[in-house]
Amino acid sequence: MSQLAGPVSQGSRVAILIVLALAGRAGSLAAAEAPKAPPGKLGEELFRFGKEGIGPSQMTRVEYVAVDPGGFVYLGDWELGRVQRFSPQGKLEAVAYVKSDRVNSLAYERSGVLFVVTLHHLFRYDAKTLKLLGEVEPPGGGDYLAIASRPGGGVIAVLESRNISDDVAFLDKEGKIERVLYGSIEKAAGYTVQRPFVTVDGKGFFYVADNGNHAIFRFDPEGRYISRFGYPGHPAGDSNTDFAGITVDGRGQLWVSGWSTLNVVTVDGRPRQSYEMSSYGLAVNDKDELFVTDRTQVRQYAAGKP
Amino acid sequence: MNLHRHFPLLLLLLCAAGCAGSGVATRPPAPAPSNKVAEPPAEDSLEPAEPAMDDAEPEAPAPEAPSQDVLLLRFKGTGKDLGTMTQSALVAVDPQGFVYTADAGRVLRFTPEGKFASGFSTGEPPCQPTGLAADRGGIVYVACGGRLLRYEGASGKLLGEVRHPDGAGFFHVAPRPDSGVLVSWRNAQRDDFVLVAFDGTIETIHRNAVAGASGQAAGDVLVAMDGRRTIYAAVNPLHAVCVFKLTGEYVNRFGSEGEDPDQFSGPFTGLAVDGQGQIFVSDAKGVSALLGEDGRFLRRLETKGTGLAIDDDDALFAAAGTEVAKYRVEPPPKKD
Repeated sequence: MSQLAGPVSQGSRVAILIVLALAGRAGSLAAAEAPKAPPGKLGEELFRFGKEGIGPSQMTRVEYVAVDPGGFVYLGDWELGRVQRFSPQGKLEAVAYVKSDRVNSLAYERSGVLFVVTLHHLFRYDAKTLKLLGEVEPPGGGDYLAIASRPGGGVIAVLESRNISDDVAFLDKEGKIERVLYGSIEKAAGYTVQRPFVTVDGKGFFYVADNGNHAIFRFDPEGRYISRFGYPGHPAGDSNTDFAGITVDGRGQLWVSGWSTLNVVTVDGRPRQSYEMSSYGLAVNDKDELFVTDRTQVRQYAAGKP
Repeated sequence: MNLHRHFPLLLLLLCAAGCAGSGVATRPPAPAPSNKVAEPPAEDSLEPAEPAMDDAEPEAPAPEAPSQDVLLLRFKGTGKDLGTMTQSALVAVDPQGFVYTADAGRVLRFTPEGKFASGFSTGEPPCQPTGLAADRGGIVYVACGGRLLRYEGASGKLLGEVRHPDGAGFFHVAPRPDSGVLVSWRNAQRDDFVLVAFDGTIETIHRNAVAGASGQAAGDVLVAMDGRRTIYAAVNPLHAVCVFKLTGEYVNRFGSEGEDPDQFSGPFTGLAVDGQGQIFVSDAKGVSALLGEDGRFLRRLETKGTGLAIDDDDALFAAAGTEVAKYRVEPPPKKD
């Protein structure tokens, strides 16, 4: 585990910056046409932890992250098929292997329940101990694909139903179905979702980032479709668009990861920024600090200026 | 690193690297020294080098690179009123870094810095433990005389006994990556792998695991489990490490009896796996590091450890006699 915010003096910081600037200059001479990332407003990196490996506290393909109000971080490792709970200091507190050997999505529900999607199934875990509480039956026998917490409690899930359509389900903290929107994406776009990601903002508007339609779909709290959009350089429908995660902060910004880029879009679809960096799972805490996974590490950033 | 002191040097190095990469055609760097018999081609020759065919000696194996395993800590297993470990062949480490050793009738607990913290007796009459492990919840499991006892590690309080439906026969214990332990069990008829949950209940028994796969009696089996939940079993009659899936399905085995580096000699006394895909096996020769995916011999550690354990940071603990040593071990070679 390493912490970047280490004891480096101001003078050393200046020295590092000069050296890096010179190194960057030398690199730009060697590859003069290399594209430059736009100037960033990503907040300062506060903390990072994680080591590549298969040991209990290590990470292989950590592509999903959630954070609770106490600062505990939950990770889903797709390859190892397990979830881990880390303290705010990056100390491993609990590990659980999922039943289907693959993690596809996870969400922390405010009452202390961790919802985990594993190869089309949805399970509930006690967030503190990661002890399995039970499986959530899908409405109509569909397959669970993605999940996100709702600010007022409970979760929202995206499913593929048996008749090759897609549904959005609202579940309470016990996993009971409150209501289901049938064919929600398909009705708006004409195609069903593939490898979707979902997030909900503070007002209950929800957003589905869909790798099938290459777009982010925005819905109001009642599930009415509002609009679709892409991220900087990739308008809706661009087949080169990739989604690996999505989250929303308290200031009306959607953070969208695209494997090798981290993008910022306003909740109504206006592109803001794009950063060239490996990013997969995304989560935001109550302070609008951003958590980004790059498979073998988790980075925590201060809230940047919008 | 003191960046103030090294800044001019860094600057010079980076500038040189930048100039070299800025479009000026340069020769590639000279090749590293090699043990090859053939002469390298002349600098401007377009002809490939001819291998030396006549009088060529068989290529000697490349000399082993010096090991980068580093001794971090060594401490004596002495516990005040409990005396000093005399025959400690077992070691365990919990997620908080506390280290446990065991010999006849007692378990000693040490801080991560190697200071004695506490100890407890495993009852009368004292028996020689054959297995010792600490799970992720800080529960210490001791296999002794075929029984498997659970203790609260910090206090030494006995929590209970794990009972196999077919009676005593527990032998070796290893931590599971989530919680609970993996235990080997045997009687006169068969050998089992037993998966014990965090609360001491038996989750799964893979019956006749090794003998069922190998067709011969397994005897005392040492076990370990990695982060993929692959089960490793060091089996004395086979002089081999056998690999099983979590389901108990046999996958592979590697090793044989002999004096070559990749062979085993004498009874196995320790088995552990790290998070980087390495297996550590101790026998009469010492501690061998093997690559988990294919059993390839990597190197021999300069330690006389018998009992082995790995912590969350991939440090290796080796117990031998009255001492425990902690090593930062070299990671396995990276794949091309």
